[in-house]
This record gives sequence, C-alpha cells and structure tokens, in this order.
Amino acid sequence: MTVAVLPGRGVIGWAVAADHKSVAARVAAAAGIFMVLGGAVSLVMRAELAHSGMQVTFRDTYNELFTTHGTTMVYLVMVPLALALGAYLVPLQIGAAELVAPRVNLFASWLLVLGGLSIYGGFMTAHGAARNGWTEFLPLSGESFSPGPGTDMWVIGVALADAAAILLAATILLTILTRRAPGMTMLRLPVFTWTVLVTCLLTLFGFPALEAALGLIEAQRHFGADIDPVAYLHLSWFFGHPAVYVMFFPFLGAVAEVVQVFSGARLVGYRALVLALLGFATGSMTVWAHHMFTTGQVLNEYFAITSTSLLIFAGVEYFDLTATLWRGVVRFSVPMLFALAFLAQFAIGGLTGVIVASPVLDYHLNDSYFVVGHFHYTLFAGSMFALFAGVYYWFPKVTGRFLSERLGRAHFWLLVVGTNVTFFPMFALGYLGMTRRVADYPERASLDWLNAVSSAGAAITGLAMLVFFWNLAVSLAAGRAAGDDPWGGHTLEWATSSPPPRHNFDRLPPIRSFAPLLDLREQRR
Amino acid sequence: MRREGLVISAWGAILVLHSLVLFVWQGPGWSPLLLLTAGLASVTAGLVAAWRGRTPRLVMAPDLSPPAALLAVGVAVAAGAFVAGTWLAWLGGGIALVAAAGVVRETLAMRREARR
Repeated sequence: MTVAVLPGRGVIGWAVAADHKSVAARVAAAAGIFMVLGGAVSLVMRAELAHSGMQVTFRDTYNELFTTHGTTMVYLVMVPLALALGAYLVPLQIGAAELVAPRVNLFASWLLVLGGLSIYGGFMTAHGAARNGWTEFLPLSGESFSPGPGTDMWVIGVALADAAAILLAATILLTILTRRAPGMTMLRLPVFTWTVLVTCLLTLFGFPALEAALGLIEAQRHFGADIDPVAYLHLSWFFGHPAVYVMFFPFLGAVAEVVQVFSGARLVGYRALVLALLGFATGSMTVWAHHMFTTGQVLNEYFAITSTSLLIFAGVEYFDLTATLWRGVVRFSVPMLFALAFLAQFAIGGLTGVIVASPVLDYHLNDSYFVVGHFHYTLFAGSMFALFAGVYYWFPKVTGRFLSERLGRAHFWLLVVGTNVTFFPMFALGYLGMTRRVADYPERASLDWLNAVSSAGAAITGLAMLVFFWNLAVSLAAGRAAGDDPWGGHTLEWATSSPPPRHNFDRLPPIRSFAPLLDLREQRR
Repeated sequence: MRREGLVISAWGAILVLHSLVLFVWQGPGWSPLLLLTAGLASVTAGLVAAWRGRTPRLVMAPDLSPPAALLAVGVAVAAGAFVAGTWLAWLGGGIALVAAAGVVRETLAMRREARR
C-alpha cells in the first residue's frame, strides 16, 4: 500500500489537520484540558467533604460539581484518551500510512471539543449546569425536576461526545481490518492493537444506546413524553458498563506493551490473551444490569453470574503479564513503575467489583461510598496509572524527547500515595453507611476523620498532577533527545523516526510475529 | 472475502447466544432485546466487512480539511436548537450544508487527483 498526500492549502493550522497523528493529538489535548477542569472540580468537592457541615459550596452547586466531574472524566477524558491512543498508535503498530476516513476523524475530534464546551456552558445558564450525576437518570433529568437549559446543554454535549467516540471507533476498527501491512495477520497484531480492536467493538455496539437514552430525556423535556424510567436505566447502562471497559482495555494494552519491553521478554500466552480479550469484551456487554440489582426489574442471577465470570478473563491477563515479568529482566523505569502500580491497584478495583457483583452484598453497598471507592480504584488507580505508563513510554515516539525521569519518579510516588490515601478510606466510609452524591454527612467522628484523610489524599493527588504537567511542559521545551527506538521496543512504531513522518514509514521490517523488532534483534544475536 | 470480518461476526453471534439464554430464562424484556440488537448489528457489520472490506492500493490522504471541521460546528450549532429554539437549527443546518458541500468538493478533487 502506498500513500499519496495532497499538498496543504495554506496555513490554516493544526485545527483543521486531518492526519491521524494530528487528530489524536488534538483529542488528547482537549481531553487533557478537560482533565484539569474535572480534577479541579473534584478538589472543590473533596474540600466540601473534608468536614461535616457545609463550608465551601451550596447543595445545588455541589450537585452540579459531581455531575460535571463524572461527566468530564467519562465522556471527555478517559473515553477520548482511550480512542486518541488508538488513533495515534494503531496505524503505526500495523504498518499503515493513515486511518481510514481522515475527514471523519477530524470531524469527530471537533464534535468532542464542542460537546465539552456545551456541557461546561451549562454553568453560564440561569438554573446552572446539569445536576443529576453523569447518568442523568429519568425522571430526575425531566423538565419538572431539572428546569432550565443546563440539562439540555448536558444532553447535547454528551450526544456530541458520544457520536465522536462512535465515529473514531468505526474508523480505527476499519483501519485494523483493511489497512494492515503485508505479513501483519490478525494473530500478529500487537497486544495494544488487539485491546483497541475490542474497545472499538464495545464502542460501536454499546455507545449507540446512549444516544437513544439521551433522546428519551429530550422527548420527556420537550414533548412531555411519558418515559419508563427502567427503559432509560437499561439504555443508559447498556452504554455505561461497556464504557467502563472502553476506559480500561487500551490502557491495559499500554501496560502489556510496557511490561514486555521493560522485561525484555516476549509476552507469555499471546493467543490466550487475545482470546481472553475477546471473551472479556463479550462478557462486558452482558453485565450492564448489575447496576440495576436493587430495582427488582432484572434477572439478578444471570447478571451476577456474567459479572463474576469476568474474573476468569481478567485472571488470564494477569497471569500472562505476571509470567512475562517472571521470565524477563525487569527495568524499573518510570513507565514500568506505573505499569506495576496498575497491576497492584487494579486488583483492588477488580476484587471489590466481585463484592458488588453479588446481589446480596450489593443491596447493602449500592449507592454508598464503597462503590465510589471501587470505581475509582478501577478507573483512577487502574486506568489512569496505565495511561501514565503509556504516556511515559510513547512520549519519546510522539515528540522525539524523553519525559524527565526525575520528575516522573516524583510524579509516580506522589500519585501512589495520593491515590491510595484518597480512595481507600472510601471503602470504610461506604461500609459505615455514607451515601454517595451528598454534599454533607452526619457529624460522627468515624465519618469525619475518614473524610479528612480522603481529602488530604486528594490534595496530594492534585500536587502529583501539577508535577506531571510541569514535567510535560519542561520536557516538551527542553527534554533529552530520545532517538527512534530509545527503549528497545518490540512493535512497528519503533521502526520509524520520532516523531513519525506524515506517511509513517519509509520502509517496514519483515513481520513474522506480534513483536517484529524483537524478532530482528533475536535474529542478529 | 476477508476473514477478519468474521471475528466481529463471531463476537456478535456470542452476544446473540447470550440474548437467547436471557430470553429463555426470564422471557421477553429489555435485557434480551438490547443484547439481541447489539449482537445482530455486530454479526451484520462483520459480514459486510468480510464481503466488502478491501485494502486499497493507493490511499489519498488529505492534510487539511477545513470543511470537515466546519461541519462539526454546524452540527453542534444545530443541536443547540434544543436550548435556543428552531432558528438555531436553521443556522446550524445552513453551516452544515455549506460544510458538507465543501467536503464533497474536496473528495471529488482527490478522486480526480488519484485518477491522474
């Protein structure tokens, strides 16, 4: 396959660049800005919760803040970052020159940005922003409980961001199916690309349900339609649970790449891992109603079985990665530190997931801080750490420069401490009966000190993020030059220059496995 | 025929199987319906990819596409009609129409370039 590039038509800037690397960079930059906003919102929330009694916000404002925090982190940060990683790296890993339909990707990147602006624009309206959580359940999001345009702007924003995700997923999936280099069979795809493939499946076949759910909200608000709240719950969670895995798989893929490269070993059990990923993706489409155990409207037995069975697939992935570490010689560079922390901390998120997958226990823990602790251990202590593993690993490829190792280590240790001090007390808070989405709680010594500890942890996490952004700025401006393959990578992206040229590759090495560069190195020995 | 598409169909078939299990176990309802819809969509998409998917010999890739970005603006403005009223749908629709014409023009120009 060859690529012909049309010459640029004037200096219109990065805003209208259609090349997959520019699109991914634009999506990642937007997600980064939204991450700062969403993170700042969470700090205000933790400041409010540091002590019982209202001290920083009003109750309605607090509701707007937790809604904006969840909405931002799910729709505007983690899902876009997952797909941005895929959009940047998949063509490089499979030896393609470009993603399918570059204009569609460009269009999607702007839908995401405009969607985010619409969600935050709600704060400027008379009744304030949306305030019913990132799920905006009906009838709470209906006209009578949520008057004013804030909720409508939330619906518009989320609908645009969701459409952007669907379009990006479609083009990435088509690229994997039709643009692979000669020799790159499906069972030679790098693990990261496989994780992106299953992410695209979940996005394509789960996310349209959200558009339907949002349609129900608007039908109620503007046409007075009588909507069955359970129907909304089903549609919302049919999107919502696969979304959790969309925010997990690509980051797991990043960890798998980091573990292989920084162990200097070929992945153990590649085929088992691929099968586990496909099984995991199937399973994750069949578990959504475990969010509805307490409604009495779903078959709890079935959804408890499917939810618990996800452990099997997660177990295969853990064993494969651990075995790879076991066989290799581990280099404890910053990407590897984040990857190891991911493995340890995600285990806590996963195992607490088994607890809430049991309907009997879920009746006690539903809507408590235990659930908040659980999903923050999967999405922050898990996916976010894995994302940082990927950022430190691929930054030299994207920019041609290293991120500072010294600042990276400071970032890592502050984040480990901050994360665990913030989120671990939440399990105890939930067990003690503190409900989620409340601006205040009864004055009780046990709740007060656990909340104070959690808020202190949030401040440390905020400091860690400042170190990261400082590292990013310093390294972009004057980071150490990295060269084309600074880590001894296994996959094709390390066979081209850093940063890669417009058409990605001048020539490709022979592809005989999922680790073509490792093959070359072994051949030379 | 590209066998890769069949991976997606097989994945969808398992979802269909799950929907049947749910249907037999609990009877008709939202749960089996949602799974069946997603499963059938996946099976169909996989089959289409298997039959129609092909690797092009030459890929024409645009560097820039202002109309594609403008199209996003048009769609977002039109969606704002839910907040501001129908007039915004007309405005957004107009922007989107102009942008779509620009995208078509770009695409045709690229095809001409490719034929040369």
